Amino acid sequence: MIEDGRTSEDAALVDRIAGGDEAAFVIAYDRHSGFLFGSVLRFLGDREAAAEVVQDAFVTLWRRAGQFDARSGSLLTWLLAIARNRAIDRLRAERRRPSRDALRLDSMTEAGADGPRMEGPPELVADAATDPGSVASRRWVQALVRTGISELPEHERQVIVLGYSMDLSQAQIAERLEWPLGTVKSRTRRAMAQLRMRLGTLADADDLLGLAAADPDGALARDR
Amino acid sequence: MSDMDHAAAHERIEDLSLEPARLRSLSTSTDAADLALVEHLAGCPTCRADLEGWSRVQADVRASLPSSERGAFAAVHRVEVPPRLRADVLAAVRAEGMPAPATEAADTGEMTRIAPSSSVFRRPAARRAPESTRARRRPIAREWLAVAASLVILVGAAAITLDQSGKRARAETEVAALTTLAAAMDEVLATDHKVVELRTTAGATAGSIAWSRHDWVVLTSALTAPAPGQRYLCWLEDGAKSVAVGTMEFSGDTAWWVASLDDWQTWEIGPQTRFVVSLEADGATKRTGPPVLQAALGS
Repeated sequence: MIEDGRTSEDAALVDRIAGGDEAAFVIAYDRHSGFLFGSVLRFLGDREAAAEVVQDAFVTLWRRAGQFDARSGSLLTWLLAIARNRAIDRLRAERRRPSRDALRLDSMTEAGADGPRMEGPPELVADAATDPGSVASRRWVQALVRTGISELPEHERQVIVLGYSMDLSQAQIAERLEWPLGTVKSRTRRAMAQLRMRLGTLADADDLLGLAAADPDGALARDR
Repeated sequence: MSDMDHAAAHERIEDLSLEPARLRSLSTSTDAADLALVEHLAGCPTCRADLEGWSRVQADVRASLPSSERGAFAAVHRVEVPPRLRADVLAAVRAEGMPAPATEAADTGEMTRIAPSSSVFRRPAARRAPESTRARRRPIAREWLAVAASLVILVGAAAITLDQSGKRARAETEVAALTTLAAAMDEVLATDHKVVELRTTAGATAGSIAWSRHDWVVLTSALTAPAPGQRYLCWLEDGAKSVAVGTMEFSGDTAWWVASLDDWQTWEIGPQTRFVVSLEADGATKRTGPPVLQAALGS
């Protein structure tokens, strides 16, 4: 993962961007656009809209690079914060219509030829017992976690999905994939270490805890 | 502390982190190694924090994945960024021109630097004025929007007439700035927003401040361009807290400031929060001048 090792490098890049260095901007784009786009796409469920939000975030970086403070967070965290606000506003603007009965947190279906296919944009309309803001926050964290997993090498992604979605033990995963148990363990260990590092740098602990606490059994992800 | 040493505890925690069910059942496990770990944890905050970190990641991963295998794999399918996006972003950036300079708050510890919030998800929701209040206040904003729009037209005309005197570049800069101003005002008015009056210290109406979740637009005709070496700085203040947020720009008789403050900092506007404009020397790092204009944002 790139986050920790590149934080200081990012700060130097942003300094150059603040001086109008387009080459530095391109490096920053190439470095972070993937995670940003993946997260926003998972949040919005619309590739075009996600592209617009990501573009908006990078243009904001260009405009305001001089005000970036690396002491307050990483560049990616900052870009994600901008993108998240823009994405939520976008959903709100599109969803200003009579309230609905159902709360739908996710609409992701099978992967298409060019990546995940969405069956429509997600709803931020909540039922009476659910605060739309917290729904959006949970959904955003969910998007970050999923994007974090998507960045893992395929073998590591497999063990995470089988272990956490299907609740298979390490031995069961080994049997299922016909891999040695030691291989399953080492891949799981690497994957979890990567996720812990990545997620730890992207959101503060309380927010991630908030997702888990609000949904200890994964019901939000499963009730679909 | 138990017989289990620090290294062994970390190794055991890592093993447990491989399977969500094992970590969850640690407290009820009768396995000898688990019991030793529990005993070690009771006296070792470092290992407890490590365990909590793993528990948190496990819980978040679990909460984020659909329960069907196909759904889960689809949810974590690697997403490719549209190839054209890079060119689009670059084109948009080139259209922007040079980045804005850092705020004057940048290099001092005395003023809070405008910076991204590390609490990304904890930003307070945008204040939404009651419908009746918004309906009452909108005419003020519309009036100033009209001012901004007319300035764009006037300065646009100036760009043409000044061309022959070699001042076209400056005029075009003003046109661009005022177009930005009008666009920002339009954006603010199109979303949930609040408008308050900007007043002189004597209480006279001097302009307006409109803000939405992201954008702030400040407009006034009560200022004249400052002398060289001075500028009008904008501040958000609440009790002892004072944050420099920008500098007033001048176009003709209108002074203005436009910003996307929400992108940079979490600021919860309370009943005592006020916006202040003061005249300061270049390079000022904290407010020394008295308020020239002010507005009660929490009103």
